[in-house]
Amino acid sequence: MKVIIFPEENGSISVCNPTGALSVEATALKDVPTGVKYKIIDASDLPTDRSFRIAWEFDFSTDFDGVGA
Amino acid sequence: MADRTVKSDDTNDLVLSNNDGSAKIEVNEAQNIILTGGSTTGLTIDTSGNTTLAGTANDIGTVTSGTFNGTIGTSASGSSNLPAVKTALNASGDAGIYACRAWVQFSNSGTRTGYGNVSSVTDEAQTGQYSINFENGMGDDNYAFAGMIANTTDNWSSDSTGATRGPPGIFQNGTSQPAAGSCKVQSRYGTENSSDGNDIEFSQYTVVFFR
Repeated sequence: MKVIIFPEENGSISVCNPTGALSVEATALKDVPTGVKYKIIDASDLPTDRSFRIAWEFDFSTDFDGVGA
Repeated sequence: MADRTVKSDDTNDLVLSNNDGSAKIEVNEAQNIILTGGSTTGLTIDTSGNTTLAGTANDIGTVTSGTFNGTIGTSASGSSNLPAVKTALNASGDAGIYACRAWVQFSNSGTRTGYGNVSSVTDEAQTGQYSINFENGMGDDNYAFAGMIANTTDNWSSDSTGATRGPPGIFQNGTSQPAAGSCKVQSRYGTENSSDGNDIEFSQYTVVFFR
């Protein structure tokens, strides 16, 4: 299952879970905030330990699939 | 004066037609009535009295009984709180019907288990905070929502006790006004000890939106 990750203003990571109503790409363009970079990854690549959920990090500076419309 | 009746003979159909046959009324020996216009059959009544409309029905007036099995076009109009609709929904009385426009059930990671008119659920980094994004927007932010949290934090292994035990709540996020396209919610502890009011994520959320 694919999910869309994008950075929050505080540097943390949001994980957008498409329901399947739209394609993953269309969901990313619609539901990622305008102008924010996003990356589509497998949900299995996310950490399983949610104890430090707010500390998740990802470098979007060069590794991203698109920008929220 | 007696009725005047025109009948076909024993073997032929009775047809009232224009010159080239493109428009006609046909009463046939198989006991069907067929109306044709522009060389296209528009209405057929069969031997059981069943009526088939082949084209688009415009200005059909009031349907007082029977069953409608067709498709209502997007340009068709109706009245709000149509009695037939209220009856079908067991909505008795004068109170109107206001629809659930979106709903979603999801886990603490934001993964949906069921939904309607929701394109995604964003699991935000803040504990227990989620943004629900509508597939088709509400038009404005003047909608109501209600939510339910499964009273478990360990995926149904146990009922929550202590600080998480009732009434935990799901709320509108205090710094994000609801929008036409999305609504941000968060969940918190119940009111029992020093953890009162702290954010926490539960195993399952169910949220409905009305407008």
